[in-house]
Amino acid sequence: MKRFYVNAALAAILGISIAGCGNNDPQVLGVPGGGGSPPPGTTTYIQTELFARPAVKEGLEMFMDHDATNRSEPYNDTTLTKDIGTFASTVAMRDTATTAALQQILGPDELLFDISAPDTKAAYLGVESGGATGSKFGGRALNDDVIDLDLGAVFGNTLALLKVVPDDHKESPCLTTDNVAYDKANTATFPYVEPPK
Amino acid sequence: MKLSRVFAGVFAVVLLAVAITVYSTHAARSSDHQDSPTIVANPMEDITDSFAFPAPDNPANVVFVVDFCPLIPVGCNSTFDPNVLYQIKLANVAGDPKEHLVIQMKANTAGTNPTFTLYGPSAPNEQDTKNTLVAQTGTFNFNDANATVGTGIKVFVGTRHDPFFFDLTKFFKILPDRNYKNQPNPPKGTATSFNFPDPNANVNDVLGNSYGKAGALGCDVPGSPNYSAPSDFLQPYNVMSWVVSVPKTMLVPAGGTPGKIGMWVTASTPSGS
Repeated sequence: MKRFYVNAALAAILGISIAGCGNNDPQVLGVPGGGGSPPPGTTTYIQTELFARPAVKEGLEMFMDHDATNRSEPYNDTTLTKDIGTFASTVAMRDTATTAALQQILGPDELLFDISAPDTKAAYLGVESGGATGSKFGGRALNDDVIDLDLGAVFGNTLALLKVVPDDHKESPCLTTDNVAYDKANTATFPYVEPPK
Repeated sequence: MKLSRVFAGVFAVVLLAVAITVYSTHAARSSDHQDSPTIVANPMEDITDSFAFPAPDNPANVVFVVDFCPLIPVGCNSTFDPNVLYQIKLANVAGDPKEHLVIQMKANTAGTNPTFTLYGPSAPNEQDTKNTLVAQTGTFNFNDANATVGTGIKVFVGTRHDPFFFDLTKFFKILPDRNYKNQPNPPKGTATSFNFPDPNANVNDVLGNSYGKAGALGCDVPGSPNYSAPSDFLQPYNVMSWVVSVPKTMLVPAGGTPGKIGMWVTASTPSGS
């Protein structure tokens, strides 16, 4: 498990939202530089599965709601945001401010990365934390301990350390890490993911 | 896997039932394994993880990894379904959470060793959960680490060691309702702590803050009724990995500048099941 040190003021963490588009109706686009309008009879594929930030939907959303989220665009999905609030306030027992911060930081559920950042490595929640997790590129590296980062935000005082919210003193320390370290061997050359066992 | 699309009649039904039974016997939902009944029944649609990082050997490129088909060899059986479309959706326009760029991939035939086609990166035909294919970029073979398509794009689909790591066994003791096998009437949790092998070790937040020593905090430590050594549930298993390395210049919005990008990945089928 990695250890990082807070090295940035992080008011920006609540300013991450790339949300804010008022019209969320499906759109058929013009296709500059792209595929062009599909000809009649072209196969339409209907979404059945969605994945963005690791362990957010799976850990914080009610199982019965997963199918609705899987069939939504993240920017149109109110179910996940509602369930994050319910989990934070009733399971993790966080206060109102911490609960609201978690809902805002994690919605819409999109993995953020920044191709203008000079960093040559990724670090989960790096965009949201202003680089405090190890890189302003953000994204997600193969060896990022995303579970401990998520657990720290939900059950620990990560958000208070980042000065996002005051410490609510409702941490559950025994739930802030699973004590499992990265135990795979990704490679330095394409395709980077460890060959099969 | 949708064997019913490959085989007809009773033989296929029996095979599908066996496959689902074997798959569901090894329940797991760590990063995103087996998270809805539709996905449990169709493990080729089961996306378990995604990653985005600068290429270690070429920082001018961004690497996307999409893992699917979990728990190989005891779970998903690696038989590709050409009806499943995999997409990486990218919100690369500042201030807009909608997708303005997509990368699509699908198998061209069924089986365990098909060819594949990569589509995009390109503007999507639709900003929606119902999608059509964008322009084809190139085709490539299964498990070929040297495949290139388009201009400066590397692409791969093949079996890899699942990169995710998590003590899922203990997690399900803490929150058993997160295990699909316990639906719709999950039992109450039987633990309130992960496993801590050293009672005298500090419990630290990822940012370096210490909460105190594990034993003094009442965490599960050796000797506690609920303690067992922490272990990575995914260590024995493989997944199917789609890896695509794309020049950053292709991710810049038309007329815009490089900046923050939101990413999500999806699986889709013509039937929506």
